[in-house]
Amino acid sequence: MAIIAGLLRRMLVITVTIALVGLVWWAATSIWDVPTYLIPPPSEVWTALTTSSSFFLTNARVTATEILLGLAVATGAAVAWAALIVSVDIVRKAVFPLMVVAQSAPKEALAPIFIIWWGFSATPKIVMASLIAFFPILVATVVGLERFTREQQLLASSMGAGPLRRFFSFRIWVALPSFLSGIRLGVTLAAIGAVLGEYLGSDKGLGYMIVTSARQLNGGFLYGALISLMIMCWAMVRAVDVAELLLLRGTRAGKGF
Amino acid sequence: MRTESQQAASEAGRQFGSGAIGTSMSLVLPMVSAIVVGLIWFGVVALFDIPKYILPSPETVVASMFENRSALFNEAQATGLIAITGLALSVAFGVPLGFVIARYKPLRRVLMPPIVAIQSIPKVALAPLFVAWLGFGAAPKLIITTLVTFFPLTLATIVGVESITVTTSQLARSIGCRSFGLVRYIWFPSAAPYIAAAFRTAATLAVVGTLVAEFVGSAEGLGNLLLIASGNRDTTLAFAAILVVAALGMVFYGGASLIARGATARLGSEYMRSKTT
Amino acid sequence: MHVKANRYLLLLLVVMSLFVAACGDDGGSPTASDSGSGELIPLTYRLDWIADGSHTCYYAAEANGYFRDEGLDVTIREGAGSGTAATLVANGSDDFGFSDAGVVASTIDDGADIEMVAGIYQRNPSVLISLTESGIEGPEDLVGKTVGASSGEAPVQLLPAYLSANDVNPDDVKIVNVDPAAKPTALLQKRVDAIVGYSSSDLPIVEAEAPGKIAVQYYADYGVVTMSNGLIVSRKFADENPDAVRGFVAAVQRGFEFCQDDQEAAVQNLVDTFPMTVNPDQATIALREVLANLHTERTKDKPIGYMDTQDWQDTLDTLAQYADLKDPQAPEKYFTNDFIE
Repeated sequence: MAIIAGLLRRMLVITVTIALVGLVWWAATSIWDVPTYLIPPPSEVWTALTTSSSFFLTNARVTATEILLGLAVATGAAVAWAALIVSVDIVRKAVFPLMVVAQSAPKEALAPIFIIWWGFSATPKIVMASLIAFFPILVATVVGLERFTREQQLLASSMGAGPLRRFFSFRIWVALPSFLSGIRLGVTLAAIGAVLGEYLGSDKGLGYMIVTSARQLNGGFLYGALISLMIMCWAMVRAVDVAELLLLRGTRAGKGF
Repeated sequence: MRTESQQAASEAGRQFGSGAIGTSMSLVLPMVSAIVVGLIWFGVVALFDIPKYILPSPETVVASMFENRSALFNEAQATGLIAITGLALSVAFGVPLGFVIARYKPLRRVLMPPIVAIQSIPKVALAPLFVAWLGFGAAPKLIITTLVTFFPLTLATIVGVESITVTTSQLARSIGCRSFGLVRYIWFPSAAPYIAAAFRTAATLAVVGTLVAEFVGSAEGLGNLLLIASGNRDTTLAFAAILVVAALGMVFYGGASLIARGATARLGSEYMRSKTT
Repeated sequence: MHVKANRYLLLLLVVMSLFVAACGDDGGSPTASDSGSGELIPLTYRLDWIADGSHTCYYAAEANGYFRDEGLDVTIREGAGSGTAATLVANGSDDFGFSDAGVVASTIDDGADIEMVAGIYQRNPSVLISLTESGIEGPEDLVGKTVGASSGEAPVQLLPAYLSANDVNPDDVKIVNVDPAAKPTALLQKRVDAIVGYSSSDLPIVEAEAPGKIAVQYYADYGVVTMSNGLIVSRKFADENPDAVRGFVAAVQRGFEFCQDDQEAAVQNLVDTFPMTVNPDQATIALREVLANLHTERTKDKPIGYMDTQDWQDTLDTLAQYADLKDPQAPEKYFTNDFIE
């Protein structure tokens, strides 16, 4: 019962917040004479979202797929590299600075080349998403893995854990909070990458909607697409929060040692 | 808990190796891998006979860099200045915001969804809005750079503060630590390694962020040069500009690492200082 | 900690290679054609930009079955700039493309084996757009003003030509780079005094938003005579499939004739094809402008798409002087009328 009450209260808070934002938005657009292509009144966005809901959904699904695949690729690569970097000193020294350089190279500039290589398919968007999301996840994972102290390592060894078990049964769990905060960043960055990829050349997805409607001064569609994107990303970040809650509840008991 | 964060802090500093052997190795090895990458690049272009409008060969890029060195240097200065200012703004804004959100839990529920939501939008996609509201001066560029960089800092601050155990906080309060002291001696030292790591990420993001801002609308900077070069189909100059951007990012990363190490050592607790030295 | 790392190294390498493999294999090749119905030859046509009113006539040709009549099954693909279209045609990813003459020329000079087979924007579509209230009536009014432009576009490359041809020093005009999507907003919000762009893609957006408040100067009226977009194909493809190229050009000609006869129906067809992304008001203006640019003085009695050698020579001369084209070759290297009936 208490849980349901809490949920209801939370829903109420969210509803009230949204209603307030909508009200302020509506008031602002009706008091000042803002052109609708800059800030359309909420009603116009609502009309766009409801009358073309299937169009928004189709495009949102395209973008969501690109974000998730990009995130998966980035996470896999980041975890693998992080493990390498913390276990092999020479890799850290040789490769890490290079990754920093690659990180600060503007991926936007690569978009035209990606389009030439892969056309308008999902691949360039997934590559863009994973390229942008990769580095923060890597850094967070490295920091997390470094938190495995000598004492903890000794303790694990004293319990008879070999190097593999030390890594998978102990070290990974120590790294988890930092890793998950990296993933949280990674979600939004993967979203940026996917939408950027679409922005620079595509024929579907929310980024495509954003670029066409922004250029054609279609405020209702532009804001509808932006809001869809925001809701989607917020949901994904919440999913990470829930995963964290579940995973860390498991470790607290284990952390008792 | 302390030992962990202390280790992470020293780790943050170690990234750009200390000690004579460490330093020379950490300089030589990246160079070796850079040369390897350059050779692969050279080999790929030569072997597959890739036309220069798709991928120019490294030696022409280097030649173009040398030829346009004064232009590249000037534009790098313009970009660097905006990036530094934007980074400073996002530290001044992002870290306190993180402390406030960590301190007042309900705020998290109110503030985080919009912050996360705004993060997920590529700033280029908002170009028309930025241009309409802020025009083309330094203001829109600083705002975009700050928007791109503050989030990792805020997030890291929150995670750092939340890594403090309840017992530690209670202990601190029981010995009379009040709000300022709590932030200064408990929160900040605990969050410092997280903030330091995020600061390094933010430093490279600042360069990329400024570049994006220059894409949106600008008359100067490396982003502007890059746009003009690729617009004129001068792929070689475009790649030269990209390399300079990457180098600038590396300088920012290195600088941020030094600052982060210095700050963690200085602002960390006595306990941590005794451990790190 | 580092001693027994070898085993994980192996594991990690396996994991990483899996990811690399995963990255690699879903690259849907753009050449893969999705239909092979009957005897029709499947072809792709890459536009210069996202489908809008300037592309009305190709979609009309498709909807009216003109390509089918020629034995072709054409897939029209939206694009990301003239340069991308030219490159995709050059590397064989697409069979036909729609690309700017200047871009085509410099791509050819870079070693791409492509040629223009039909000139569509023969009269220069570059325009300078301002709000009537700012009183810009000609090049001389631009002194000391700020002009918004997206880098790489022909209109900004040719802006010095437009200014110099009318005795204005290009250094007296400040150019600001603006993201293409932000250009109309920058003008309407008066963040810049004027923008340069295409009469068929930038003008429709601002004119539909602020009808009657827009002042336009066509570069072509001020002595800048360069050709712009046309249909391009790789020479290899043209050599191997001359009939397909001839058929494609003929179908596009019929598409434009249909547009000339019934603009309303053509726009309606485009809106029906893209109900969510095409704005009918903008498309109507775009089509008006496209049809106005089909011919130069020299080609006005010729079939649609037919190009004049002297027009090409003028274009190359102007580009060599003001844009990035370095010592151009003879006009015949860049275009052919062989496929025009």
